Amino acid sequence: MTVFKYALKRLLRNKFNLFTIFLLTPLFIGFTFGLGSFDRKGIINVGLVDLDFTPFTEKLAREIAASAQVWELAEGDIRSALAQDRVDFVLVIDKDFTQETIGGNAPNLRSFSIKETDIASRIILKIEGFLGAARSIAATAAGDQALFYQGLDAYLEGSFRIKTQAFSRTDKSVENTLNSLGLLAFSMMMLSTFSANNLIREREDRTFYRVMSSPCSLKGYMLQNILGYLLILLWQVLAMLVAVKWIFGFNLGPSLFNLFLVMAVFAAFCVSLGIALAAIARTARQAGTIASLTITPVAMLSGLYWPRSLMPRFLQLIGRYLPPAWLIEAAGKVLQGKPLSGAGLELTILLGYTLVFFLLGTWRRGDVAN
Amino acid sequence: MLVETKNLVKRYGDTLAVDNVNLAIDEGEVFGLLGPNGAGKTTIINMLLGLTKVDGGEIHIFGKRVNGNREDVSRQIGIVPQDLAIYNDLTAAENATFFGRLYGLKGALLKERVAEALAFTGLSDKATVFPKKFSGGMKRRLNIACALVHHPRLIIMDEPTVGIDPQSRNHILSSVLELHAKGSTIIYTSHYMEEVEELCSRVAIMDQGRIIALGSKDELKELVSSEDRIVVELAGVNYTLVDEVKKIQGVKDCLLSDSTLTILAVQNNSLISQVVDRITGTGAQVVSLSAQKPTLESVFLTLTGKNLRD
Repeated sequence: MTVFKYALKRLLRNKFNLFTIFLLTPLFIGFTFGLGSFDRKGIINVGLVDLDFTPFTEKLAREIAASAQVWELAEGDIRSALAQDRVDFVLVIDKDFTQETIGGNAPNLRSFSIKETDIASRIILKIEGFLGAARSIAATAAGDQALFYQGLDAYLEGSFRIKTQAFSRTDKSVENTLNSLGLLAFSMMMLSTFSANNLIREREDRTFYRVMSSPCSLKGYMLQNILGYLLILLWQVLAMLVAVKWIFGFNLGPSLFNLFLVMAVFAAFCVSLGIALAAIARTARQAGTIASLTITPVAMLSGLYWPRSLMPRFLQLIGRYLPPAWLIEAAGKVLQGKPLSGAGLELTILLGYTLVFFLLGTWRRGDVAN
Repeated sequence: MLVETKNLVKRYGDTLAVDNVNLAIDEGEVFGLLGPNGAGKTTIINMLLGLTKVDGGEIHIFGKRVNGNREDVSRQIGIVPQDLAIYNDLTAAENATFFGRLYGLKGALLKERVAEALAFTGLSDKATVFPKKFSGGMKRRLNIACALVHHPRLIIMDEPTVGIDPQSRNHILSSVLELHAKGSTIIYTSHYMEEVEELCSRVAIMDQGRIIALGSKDELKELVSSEDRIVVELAGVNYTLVDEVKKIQGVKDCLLSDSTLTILAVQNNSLISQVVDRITGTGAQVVSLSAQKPTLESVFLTLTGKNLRD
């Protein structure tokens, strides 16, 4: 394991590498992951125009604020706030809203949002729930304002609370997670150029020639290099998953370990890809060009940027068989709570690709000396 | 026989890089491969190391066929590549340690051998220094240290003195002699005739993939003993000079390099005065003139009609 040990030693001795590997990449990927998600608390901005301004409307505002960021607006600011994307949704409480509610009527709330967005549906449901309860309390209080507020406070303090724990994720949230995982997978594929460049540099500075003159075989040399780079990629995946789960507070499905294993298989594929890239390219610049020209289209076709179902049928068919597509399939299954064996076929195919690229990278074409 | 090649052939497309080369190198010998750039020296070495596919013929080293026994055979070979092959991000000692480990050394023996190799190449006090801070000569010496750390039975040095200062060059040449005194077998390639002449007991002269002469230094010089080699330094070179000199009866060849005219001629005492007359007749001035004993350079010149460094 001499090559493995010294490859790591040399890699980690370089301060720039240390910064990139241990800090920059996991943070960048984690940040990208976080950005790719919409399933986060506090992301919805609600504009509130309170023309009634009573203790009841204050309680309603507090209830909304528990799930969203509330911005007080003047009625004249509604259009500009929505147009400038400062708020996702605006709620207008008209004068006498409280009085009518206590009086047993069902006054309307006016709401404004940009068409074709359902981002505020969760908040609307919450408001409807609150107002429904308020109307029931008002009916019981029969116009008695003090009794109404007493009942409302009792409702808000609530002796009966439900704590929910999701055991299976909805299709929508799995899709969001997969979008983010796609970005991670794309970054990992781009990182394969890192290993390719290092291998090419060893070829250029003739140390590869010298190592090949020793009893070390080409396959042994490549395998040990793969292990080194794999270790680094695994660290990055682990750091990223930890950051996303515990720093960004994201739910990564019922089994983080299974998701890590799926990503580990893909990491092995990425390192193999780097080995093959190093074998094909003659210079680091050539490797960069090949990577740019192949990785991005492959990522697009495989559904790393967007769901494959959005693409034309023949592109879907091509993308279906590309390596990252199998990662998305496997990760999707694991995120939906299936055991690792449920993604066995996808992982086996991904491992097959890994082996093919490894053999391509270590297949001795003519002279090692050249 | 430590190294033996039989009808070795290597082709690159239509080019015959190595053309039926037969070599037999004994244990304890310093064997020189002399030839200009592109003669096929490095290709032969790559084939000896099993790094270049052999298109024809056979190689036996330590009595074993290289093809099929590469890892076993390479365990006892130390290579000093033509290009520097050291890691700039490992210290001198770490470089030697890394290559020592590749050859199976470990523990106290490895440490001992690393210290020995660095001492041998005069780099003991630079053990913890990174090669990027080394001079070109020191890097070359480290390049050698990495090849010696595992005490190889056969050392192959491929142009180890290219582009270095005279002090480091002398250090390397005396190191080769010291290794020879210790009983190592060395294959030394160079296009510096003086180095091969100083170090090697037997020499193969190569040109265009073929061995054009093979033998001890004296045997090779004997090939041109019937010739005079006249070297003339000139001031003011004339276009017609070479043609005029070649017209002199007895002149076999004539080469002009910068202001130096080298003439190969059959032994004839009256030739020198004729040469001087002919040169001055073209309007050129003779600055100095010397008649030299046969050297490997003149052997190469005679056999190929060109200089080693052309």
